[in-house]
Formats: sequence, structure tokens, C-alpha cells
Amino acid sequence: MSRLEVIDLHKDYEGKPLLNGVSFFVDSGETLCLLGSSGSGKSTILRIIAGIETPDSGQVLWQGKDVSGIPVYKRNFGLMFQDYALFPHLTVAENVAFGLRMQRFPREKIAQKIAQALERVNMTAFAARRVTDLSGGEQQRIALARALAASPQLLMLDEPLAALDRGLRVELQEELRALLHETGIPAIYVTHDQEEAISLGDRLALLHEGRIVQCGPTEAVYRYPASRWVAEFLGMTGLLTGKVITTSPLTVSTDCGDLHPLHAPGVAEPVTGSQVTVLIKPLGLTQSTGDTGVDVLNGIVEDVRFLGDHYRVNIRLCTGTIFSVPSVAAYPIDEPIHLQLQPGDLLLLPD
Amino acid sequence: MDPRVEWGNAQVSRLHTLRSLVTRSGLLLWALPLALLGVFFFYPLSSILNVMFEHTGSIYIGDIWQPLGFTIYQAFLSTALTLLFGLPAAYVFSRFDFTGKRLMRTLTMLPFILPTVVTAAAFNSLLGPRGWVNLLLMKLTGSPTPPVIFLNTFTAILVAHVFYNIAIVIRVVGSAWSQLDPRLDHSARVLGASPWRSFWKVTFPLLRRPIFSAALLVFLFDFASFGVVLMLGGPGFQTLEVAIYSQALHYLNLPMAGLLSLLQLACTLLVTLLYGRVNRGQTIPLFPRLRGEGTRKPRGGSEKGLVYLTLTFLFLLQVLPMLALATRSIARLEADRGQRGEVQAGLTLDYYHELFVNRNQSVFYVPPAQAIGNSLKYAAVTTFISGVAGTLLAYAMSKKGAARRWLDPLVMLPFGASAVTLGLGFIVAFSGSALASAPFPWLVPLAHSLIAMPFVLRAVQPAIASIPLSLRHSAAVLGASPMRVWWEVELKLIGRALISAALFSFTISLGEFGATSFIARPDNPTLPVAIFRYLSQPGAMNFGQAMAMSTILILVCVLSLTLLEKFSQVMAGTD
Amino acid sequence: MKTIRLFIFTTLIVLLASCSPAATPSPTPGPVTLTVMTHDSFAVSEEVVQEFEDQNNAKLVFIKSGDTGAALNRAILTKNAPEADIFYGVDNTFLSRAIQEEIFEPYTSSALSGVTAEFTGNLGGQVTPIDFGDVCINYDSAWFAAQGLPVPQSLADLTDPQYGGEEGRGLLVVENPATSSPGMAFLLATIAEYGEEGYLDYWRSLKANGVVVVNDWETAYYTNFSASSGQGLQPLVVSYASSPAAEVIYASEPLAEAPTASITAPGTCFRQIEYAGILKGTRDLALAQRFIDFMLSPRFQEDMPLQMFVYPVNPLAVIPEEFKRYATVAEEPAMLDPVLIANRRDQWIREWSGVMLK
Repeated sequence: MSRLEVIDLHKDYEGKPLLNGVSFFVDSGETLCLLGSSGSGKSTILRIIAGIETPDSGQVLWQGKDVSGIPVYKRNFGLMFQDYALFPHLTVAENVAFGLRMQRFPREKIAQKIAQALERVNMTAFAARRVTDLSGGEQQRIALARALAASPQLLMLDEPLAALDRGLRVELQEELRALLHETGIPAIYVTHDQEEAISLGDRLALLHEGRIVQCGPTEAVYRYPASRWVAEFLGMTGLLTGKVITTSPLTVSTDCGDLHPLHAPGVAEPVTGSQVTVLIKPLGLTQSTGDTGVDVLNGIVEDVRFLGDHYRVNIRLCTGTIFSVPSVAAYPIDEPIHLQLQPGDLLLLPD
Repeated sequence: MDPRVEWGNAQVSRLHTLRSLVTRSGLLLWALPLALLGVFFFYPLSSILNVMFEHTGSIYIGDIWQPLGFTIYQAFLSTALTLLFGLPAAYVFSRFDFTGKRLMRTLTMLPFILPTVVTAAAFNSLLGPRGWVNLLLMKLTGSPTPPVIFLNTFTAILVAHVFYNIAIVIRVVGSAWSQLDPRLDHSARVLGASPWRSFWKVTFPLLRRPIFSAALLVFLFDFASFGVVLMLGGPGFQTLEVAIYSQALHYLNLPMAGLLSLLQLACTLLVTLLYGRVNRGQTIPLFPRLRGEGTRKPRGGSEKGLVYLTLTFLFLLQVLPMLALATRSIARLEADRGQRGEVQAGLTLDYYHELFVNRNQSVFYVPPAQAIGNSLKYAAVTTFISGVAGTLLAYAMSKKGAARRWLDPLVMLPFGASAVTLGLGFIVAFSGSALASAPFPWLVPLAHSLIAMPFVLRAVQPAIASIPLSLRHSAAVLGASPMRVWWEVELKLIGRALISAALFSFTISLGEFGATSFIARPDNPTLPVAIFRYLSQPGAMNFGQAMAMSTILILVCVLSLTLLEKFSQVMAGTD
Repeated sequence: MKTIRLFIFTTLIVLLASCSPAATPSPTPGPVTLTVMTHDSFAVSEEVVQEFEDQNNAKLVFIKSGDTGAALNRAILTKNAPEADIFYGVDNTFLSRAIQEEIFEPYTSSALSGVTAEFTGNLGGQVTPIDFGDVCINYDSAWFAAQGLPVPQSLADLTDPQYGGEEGRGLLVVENPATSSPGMAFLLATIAEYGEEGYLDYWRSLKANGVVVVNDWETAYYTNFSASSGQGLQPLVVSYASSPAAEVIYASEPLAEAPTASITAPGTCFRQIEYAGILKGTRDLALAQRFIDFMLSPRFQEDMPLQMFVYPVNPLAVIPEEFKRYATVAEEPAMLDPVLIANRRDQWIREWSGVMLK
């Protein structure tokens, strides 16, 4: 079974600690999205796995074996760089063939492989072109083709779509997803864009202050973010601070009234009187019907935007926080609104 | 654990740390270039300085100020002029495509190979009292005396320096300029900057390093300039090098010559240290561009005008004197009888024929083919030695570390050192050694390599720095071992710089005369030495043969340079 | 890939070719090598060399080392590890200095008795005179004929306004003694004529008369002289008495008469005598001595005029016809004591520079 394991990586950068004990794993057939803010060390992790950098401590295991003794060029891990790093002095075909040449692939087979690789990314017509003549999207595809053509055991992509415009990005996200599933090799995809991560990742790993603060299947992470930071990073806006009044039933007193959130399985029991954050999940908007026994949140509609197949409603809560939620209907602006919250809609987050 | 095993492990880990220290500091990289410098520069230099001060001779301290002051002054002015004319030319070459571009670029390199004796003859043919210009003016104005006085003036020194050195500015700055992303200029213009402001605020800061680099080289060349000052400037002008020459070889006052040499060396060191100060800091990574990219045909009146103006200027400055010389080699040169205003007409190939004849059966006769062969051989060996040493040095310099700061000035020293002193140093240090009596005169290309090495360094180093790290990494990730990364990626990308450097080394070697005249053996002289021999005797035949051989030298050089450029295209796989 | 390989291949071939031994094979154990260090103007015909080599089972190797001063310098600098057996080319202006430096092995050739007395002084038992030449003013015959001017016949004549012009535009071009050997010789002629007290005044009047000073003979002759291929502006140049002969012999078309001639009036020329000596540390003293003797023999002496354009010191040597016709020997050349020259050379040049170059 092809599994990449990263165990307790530490690395300092310019005297300050950058990675503070990073651990995660990736299995074959799955894509792990590594999320984190800019400068958090994501690229460094990829470089350590590839062998370009060495960690101060920690291990990288491939199929159970430590790879630290294996030099970069023997590891056969693919790495797609943020700036694509295409060789400017070679044509498209020569770029794609590079890895195969380094592996001393028989010359006759190389041509075939190039054709296959270019076919896969729909760039067959560009084979003889200079890479410097290509647009961003075209370069990205060539970079991908090049990385894949070499049949790596593990593929790492470092923010490959960051430089592209939105439409192209969405289109390529689809293509990438299909491609990765088709080839079945384990992949680590680094991004700071959470929308990208949702669409591409089978599992998510979130990097914050040098540690992986949450790692799990995408849906699970979204459903149960492990902390306030994770929730914020994932784009969730409905966050209220409050104090635990009672633990059963779990009641939290906030500025907008008392709320009764659930608390995620596997998380430590909340202590009465402790400071917590309550997350209001943006799963949809339900107007209050006046029922008792359910939490109600009051707010004023700040902004409504039409997004093609749904609306996005921004509601200003009593604390001044703007809560952004999708809705099938529009609501009048500057009018008060009362949201009905089911118990499943609220989640307790440790602070 | 067995203490021996423990000890063994400790040794291994110590070796590892040592090895990583060595590789990290690039020690292995400097070893060869430093050895070259140490053995073939510092050792002869210290030997001769030692000897010089042992000998009899009075030192007149008062006599050092004038040559010192003048040397600095003329070098400064010459450099400024060379930059003034060279920068627009560099711009034109880096941005535009035009017919004859390749030819013109080759022709600008030619002055390097001309020994100053020949340059003086070339300028004389053009601007001397009986040169084309004066003859024309005299015919037009009816004046009995030539109106233009060129020789033995300060102007002659300046013009000759620009003539020689403009190629450095064009190549060094031009190649850096063509590697600049043109979008930087475009975005500045879009943001509202006029072309001049865009140049000053955006382009110039990025070009500052190559410009200073080129200026430094030109300054040092002009500083140590000898033949130009001696023959075109005349007795009214004395630089340090001329003073050293006359003190050592005519006054036979060795201590004075030694003092002046030390002074010259100190000045060179000062200049290079200052340069290191000014140019400290990271190189701004430039997107590595290949030849032909980013150039286009000139559009519009002003651009075309600039290109034509530059071409005309270069033609007038560099091609015309060489043409004048070539015509001298085929014109009948009998001294006219009586009338001082007339020129004898008539073309002849006699001088070329005579080159192949050993009329008086002298034992020192060297057929032109052999002289050419010698020159080419030395040039090839020089290019190889300086190419390898210079590239190693460029890599050493690209590693971080304090070493860079003193390594650079050290390497530049041979530039500004006196050729006479060095030549004498070679004699003292190596005469009687195995090196001197070996069948192939290794000392000649080794001496040439000392001067060529800084060129190679300056051409290759910025190219190395401009390769984004991610390119090397991606090659490694794709399976290329460090050697293959270098061979497949780096070499190709710095290829153009390497070729540029090779061209410089080649031409420097072909044209080197000063030090060579001390070390070359009479049975295998270089072309410049052979040319000089013809000029040291009177007679139209001798003069004609000197001109003929000079023309041959020029043609050989054009051919070699063109071939080298062709190879470069093939290797870089572009254009 | 292929082209790269080709390129590397060619480069390697070139390098290997350059490593192969030079055209002249290294000496085999048979003939003994005799190394002769000379200045750049040295020339000798193959036949003469062959004759010596055959007669003595030797191989002659020449090291050319620049002009007179440079060559002497080289010999002095390497005196502890001499590069040659024989040194040829020290002239009377450097003679005393050379003897001072003790680079020579004492030897007095038996052939010396046949040499004209004027050349055998100041030898110190160390050097042997081989040839002489006069540094004289050459003039452009056609120019003077066309202008109807008489040719100057003395150094004093040169200060006459009829041979002068404005500052730097006069009729005479001389070389800087600090950088040129004939220039030095001419300076010495003026010192011999006017003495140490008066020569500077002479030069001042020359300067007032518009004399042109250049740094080297090549420039003076080929750029400034009107009768050479350079077709310059000055019809009078400091050169050698043998230069007119060279003009005829090296003319590109056969000439009936020489275009130039020398002024050989008393005191206007300076006689340069060239000497050869055996360097201390020579490996084969006997062979070296035989070479010195050979240099004084008629065979070698007769070869010199057409090779080096100098006169033999051996009165028995027959001078080639064309040389005799066009080259002249000065009647009463200026001469100065070599010891005096060695001591005062430095100072004289400095004084001269002070007057002429400021």
C-alpha cells in the first residue's frame, strides 16, 4: 500500500520556528489538500517531502521506509511549482520528455509517452511550441503533463492555479480532479483558497502556526471544524463568542441571546464558565416561525447578492458580525430578519 | 558500543561536516582559479618586485604624481565617454533586430585583437596628416596644411580608448539589458512614466550592476593602457604604464619601475574594492531570456533613427579605420617624389605575396600561416583555461559568504597590473623552469588567461544568478542528478553568457602583445608580434607586409568570431 | 546532442594538436645546444646559421627579448639562472651598466686583433664588438630638391628658421629618449656637441623652431616622415644611416635612386656599437667562445648588413654593393664615454623631459 507519512516535522526559518511538529499522511488514490495562510510553510513541507530541503527534525516515510537518505532525483516524487518552472530553452515536448529522459526511458517509447501526456491535458497541438509563447493556463497544463509523464509515485502541487483567472481556475479544477482520480496516485495539493480545497480534496489538512490543527475527510472538516481559526479559514462567518452557562443541556450565553449548540464528537467536554465560540453553520436560511424550543437569531439584512443559482444574504447580527448565508430567496435590505436555528445548525468550538 | 566504532563514527561525521562546509563555502570551486592566480600572477609579481628593489637606481618621489594623476584622469574621462556612446549602442543591440546586426556585433569586437601599433597605423591612415579625412578636407578647402591634427593629442587617446572598449559595454550591458523583462518598462509607461523616466526609475536601477561591471572593466583597461598612450598620445602624455616601461627598459631604473608598479597595483586594488562596496547586495533575479527573444524590428521614425545613428557611429569609429588599413595593404605606397599634396594611385597584391617569401633567407622568417596557427592555438587554449577557471569562480561567487568580497577584487588585479612588470616577472620566476622549456609554450596562454578570467567571471556570474531556483529544483525532482541539472539546465541557460565570455577570451588572446612579447619564443610568434617585427624596419615592403598581415589578422578574427557565434547558436538551440 | 559532441571533439583535437611538440624538434643528445639571447632586431640568414651548426656539431637556439633595453634587462634579471649562453645586443649606451652588473664571462677573442681600433675600447675584457650603426638624421631628397633648400649640415643648422615652423609644425621629428633607443642616441649626439652645460639651450632653440617629438621610431618614421610609406609632414627624421638602403632594398618597385639619404656631417650622428658577450653560467664555454669568434668572422660579418642593416666591425668583411651605395657611414660621429653615459643617463633624460615635454 502506497502511503506517504510525514511525522513530526520541525523547521526553523531565519531563526524563527516555521514548522512546529507537522504530521499527516496520504494514501494512494486520495488527494490531500494542504491548506494554510500565505507564508505558513506549506511550500516548505512540499520541498521537504521532495527532498529539496531537509527538516531540522522529523521523518518522511514512504511505504513505511524513511526517505531521508534518498537524494531528490531518486525519490520519484512529482512536484509542480507555483511558477511552473518550465525550462525556457526547451519546447513543450522537450519539457514533457525531461523526466523520462532522466529516467533513461528508451527513446522510441518517449515519443509515445509525450503524446499520451499531452493528450491527457488537451495540449497535443502545442508539442513543438516554445514554452515562453504560452499563456498561463497553457503553461500550467504543460507543467502538469510534465510532472505526470514521469509517472511519479506521489504528486505534489504547489498552488498551481494561483496565477490564473477565475473562469480558467474553475475549469482546470475540474480537469485536475478528474485527472487525479483517473491516475489514482496519491496527491498533495497545496492552496490557500478554501473553495479550491473543497472541490479538489478528498481529505483536508489545515496548517496553522506550524502545526496541522485538523486533518480529515473534507466533509467531516467542514461539518466539524476543530477550532475558531479553522472555521474562519474555511470561510465561515457566523461566529459568536460566549460563555458556557450549563453543560447539559449545553447552553452558551452570547450577546445575541442564549444558544444551544451541539458539541462535536471527540472534542473535550466544555467546562461551565469557560469562554467558547459558537459556530452558526451557513447551511441555509430559515425564517423563524415563532416556534419555541428552537434558537432564534435576530439580525438586519445588510446585503443580498444574486449568484446565478442562489442568493447570498449578508446579515448583521447583534454583535455587529456579518453572517453570510446562501438562500434560495432574496430578502429586503435593511429589514430585520429572524433566523430559526436547528440544533444541528450550531456547533461549539473550543476557543 | 565498541569505542573503535564510536571513534569511527565520529570521524565519519566529522568528515561529513567538513565536506558540507567545503561544499557550502565552495572551497573546491575556488581552488583552481586561486591556484592559477597565485602561481601565475602573485608569484611572478612578487619575484620581480623583490628583484627590482634590490637593484641600483634612484627613486624620485616627486616624479610619481604627474603620471598617477594623468592616468586616473584619462581613464576616468575615457570610461565616461565609452559609457556615453556605448549605452545607446547596447540598447539598440539588445532591443532591435536589423540587417547586419550579427556582422556589426562581430566587428565591434575586432579592436580588441588589434595591437596598438596597427591601431596607430589604422588611425593614421584615416586621420593622420596624410589620411583620407585630411586629404579630402585639403582638396575641399584648398588649404596647404592638413587641418585636422589628430595624432599626438589627448583626443587621440580618448578616441582610441572608446574604439577599443565600446565592445565591452555593448556586450556586458547589452546582454543584461536583453534579459530584462520588457514588461517592466511597459508597465511603467502605462502607469504614466515618460520613456526617460521609465529608463531612469525602472530600467537603470536594474541595469546598475552590469553598467558598473562594464565601467570597471573599461576603467581598468584604460588605466593600464600602454600602446595607445605611447603611440597615439605621444611624449606629451605619460601614464603609469608608460612610465614603468621607460623606467624599466630605457632608464634601466628598476627600483623606480618597481615603485610605480606597486602604485599601479594599489590603485587597481582600491578601484576594485570601491566597486565591491558600491555593488553590494542581492542580484535582482531576471527572467532568463534567450537570444532573439524580446527583440523586434525598429518601428517608427525615432527608433529607426536611433538604430541608423548607432550603426553609422559604430561604422565610423570602428570599421572605417580598419578599412583604411586594409586599403593601405593593397595600395602602392611609394613615397611621392616632391609634391606633398598628391597621393600615388595604384593597387597591388605584392605585399601579400611577399609575406610568403623569405627573401633574405632569415632564420627568423615565419610564414603567415604558422603565425596565424600560433595565434589561434594560444587563443584556443586561453579560452579553455579561462573558461573553466572563470566559470568555477562564478559558481564560487554565487555562494553566500564573506569570501566573495575579497575574491572579486583579487581576481581583477591582473587587469590593472603592469604588463611590463608582469612580463619581467614571468622571466624572473619561470626562466629555466620546466614550464618555460616545454615544447608548447604554456606560459603564453596562461598569461592571457589571467586577463581573460575576470571577463568570464563577469559575464557568467549574472547569468547564473538569474536562473530561478525553482528551475534547478524542478529538474532535480524530475530525476536529474546534480551533474545532469547543471548539464541540461544551467549550462544551456548560461550558454549565451559563456559564449560571450569565450569570445572575449579568444580575442584578448589574439591581440595580446605586451606580456606576450616577453614570453613568446621567436620560433612561434603570434601574429601581433610578427606584425611588429615588420614595422621595426624601414622600407615600403616592410610597411606593406605589416599592413597585409594586419588585414589577415582582422580577417582571421572575423572568421573565428563568426564560427564561434555559430557554435553558440547550435549549443543554445535558439535563434 | 550530436553537434555538441562534435564541438567537444573538435576542441579536444585542437588542444591535443597544440600539445604536440613544436616544429623544431627538441635537441637530440648528438649536437650541443647553444642558446643566444638577442634583441628583436637581430636577424641572420639560415645559411650562416647552418654553417656554424655543421662546423661545430651544434644547434643554435635564439631567444628574442624586446628592444635593447628590454633584452639587457632580461639578461640582468636572470643572471643567477641564465637563460642563454651568449648575449648579443648590448650597445655602447648600456655597455657600462652591463659590465657593472657582472653578467658576462670574461673572454677576449683572438679575432679581436683584426677589428678596427675605434671599436675595441671599454671592453673590460668581457664583451666583443660585433657591429656598428650610426643614428643620423634622414632627409627626404625629393622634398628638399623641390623646395630648393640646402640640406642642413650641422646640428646648429637645425635651429635655423628656414628649417623651422610653428610650435610642433617644424621640419624635424625626433624621438623621446625616455622611450626610444635612436632618440637616446640623438640626445647623446647633442650632448657630445654642446656639452652638459649647453645642450639644454640647444634643445630650447630646437623647440622654438618647432621640432616634433614622438615616442618611438615606428611613429616617427612611418607616421611623421614624409619620404616613407606614411607620407607624413616632416622631411627630416632621426633614424639610421642605413635606412635609405632599406628603403631601396625593400621598395615595392625597383628604384633607381634612394628616396632618402642621411646627413652625415661631423657631429650630427651618433655611433652605436653593438657588443656580444658570453653569459656567466654557460654550459659549454668552449662552444660559446667559438661562436663569438664566428660572429667576428667574415662569413657572419658580411651577412649582417642585409639582415640587420648595420656595419661590420671587421674591416675584411665585404659590404654588399647596394648597401654601400645607399647607406653612408658618418665621417666624424659623436661618441661619449660609456661610463659617463651609464652614470648620467637618468639625469640627462630627466633634464631633457623637463625642457621639452612641459
